[in-house]
Amino acid sequence: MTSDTVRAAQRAAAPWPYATLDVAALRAAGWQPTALREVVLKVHQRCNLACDYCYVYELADQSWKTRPAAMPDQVWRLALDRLAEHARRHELRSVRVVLHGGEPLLFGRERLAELAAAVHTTLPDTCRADIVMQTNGVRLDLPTIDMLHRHRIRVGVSVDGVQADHDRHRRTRSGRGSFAAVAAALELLGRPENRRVYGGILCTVAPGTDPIACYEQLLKFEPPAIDFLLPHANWDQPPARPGGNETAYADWLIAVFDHWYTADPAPDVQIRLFEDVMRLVFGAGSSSEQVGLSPSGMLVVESDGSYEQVDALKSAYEGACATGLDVWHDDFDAVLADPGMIARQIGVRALSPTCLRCPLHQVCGAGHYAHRYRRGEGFHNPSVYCADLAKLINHVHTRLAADVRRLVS
Amino acid sequence: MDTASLPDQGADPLSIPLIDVSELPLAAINAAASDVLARSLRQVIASIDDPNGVISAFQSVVADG
Repeated sequence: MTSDTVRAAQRAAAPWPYATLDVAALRAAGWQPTALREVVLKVHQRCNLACDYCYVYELADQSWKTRPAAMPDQVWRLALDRLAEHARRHELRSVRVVLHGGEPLLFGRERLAELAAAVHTTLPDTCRADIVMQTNGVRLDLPTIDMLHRHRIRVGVSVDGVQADHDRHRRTRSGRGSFAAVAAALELLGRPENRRVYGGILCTVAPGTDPIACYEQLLKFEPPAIDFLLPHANWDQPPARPGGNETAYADWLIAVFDHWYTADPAPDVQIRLFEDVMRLVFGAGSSSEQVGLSPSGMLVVESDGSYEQVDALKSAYEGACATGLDVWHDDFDAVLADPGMIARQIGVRALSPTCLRCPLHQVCGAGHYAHRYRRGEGFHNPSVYCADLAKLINHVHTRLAADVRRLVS
Repeated sequence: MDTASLPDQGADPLSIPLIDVSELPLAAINAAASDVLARSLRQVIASIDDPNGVISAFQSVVADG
């Protein structure tokens, strides 16, 4: 599809931002795009698991079926050239390359090594490259960890808590749970000699499960960081709410927050979502998409070389990530003119009137962009997790305000 | 400089009062070195000096290196 065809489809599916966001007025008012600092390479489209909530395979967008399973060498080499060009043009001091899929380890150990080596040789000397990989962990063995060491790749692993909860969702195609294989991989990463490549654990929140049991299970893997991810949902496909509890996700997260925040001694683990909310209530910025108003600085390169927005948008509608641009014809700056990208860079100006009337909007930031979608309107809405975010933020704010008052006095 | 400074965003009447830590001595933050709260406050201070500004990043969890 050409970029014009893509834009026409986007205008129909999401009038805001594609038809009604006034980009010319933004520019006239002095808005400038933020340079991209993170590129996600979808090195392999397929996965060795079949998780029931996966936004790539189980939700609205099925574009993976038409793309090459593995990213051809020419595509990732061109993508790195484009990244280097972008780094030079914008004088970036650091960038991050995320190896992603599907399951990136299906790409092959030697090919990943070749790609990682090329990252360092392609970027200008003035720009530091941080390479990370997000994996389901099933194929993470000692030879792979040795390769991660050699090429300074840090790895994040997806785990959904205790074995029964994890295996309920994260299964092989034959229906077997993956917990045992992932636990074995995390045991390897937790060894002192491997901690340098251990990035952390990503866990999807599941109300109806025991939050403390989940957190304690994750702690047993001794991760340097944990992030809790709200399942992708939107106003047309709202999240499951067991028992009709309107703030089930907040209640789950607050239980973990209190456990983590009050532990003595304090646990040596960062929890990204909580630390982002804490920084935001102190007036600083957020480093993740789930909260806050920081501009998005990431781009996804699919295995066929297409440039796409963050692939969580695949949960909204078919083609929601598409830009119509690609690594063969377009530099990274071209993506910065896409209304969908602009919408995720303009902070408070992307918020709906409902959000602007809410006293929490600078902290919440309407949550994850994908969670604002409503058919026929687009993304100019509060998050479908609005009540959960408000409850979590108010809880953290109250707790920190009391503790800071104590510190000052 | 012996206190953490933050931009005043509390002036917006539609915002919750962001927690003012501008009067908090750095010594008090450093004294609580192992505390979750202290770690967060140090992150706030570090973000003031970030030359590129904070961006919202991809949701692959990897601790800051």
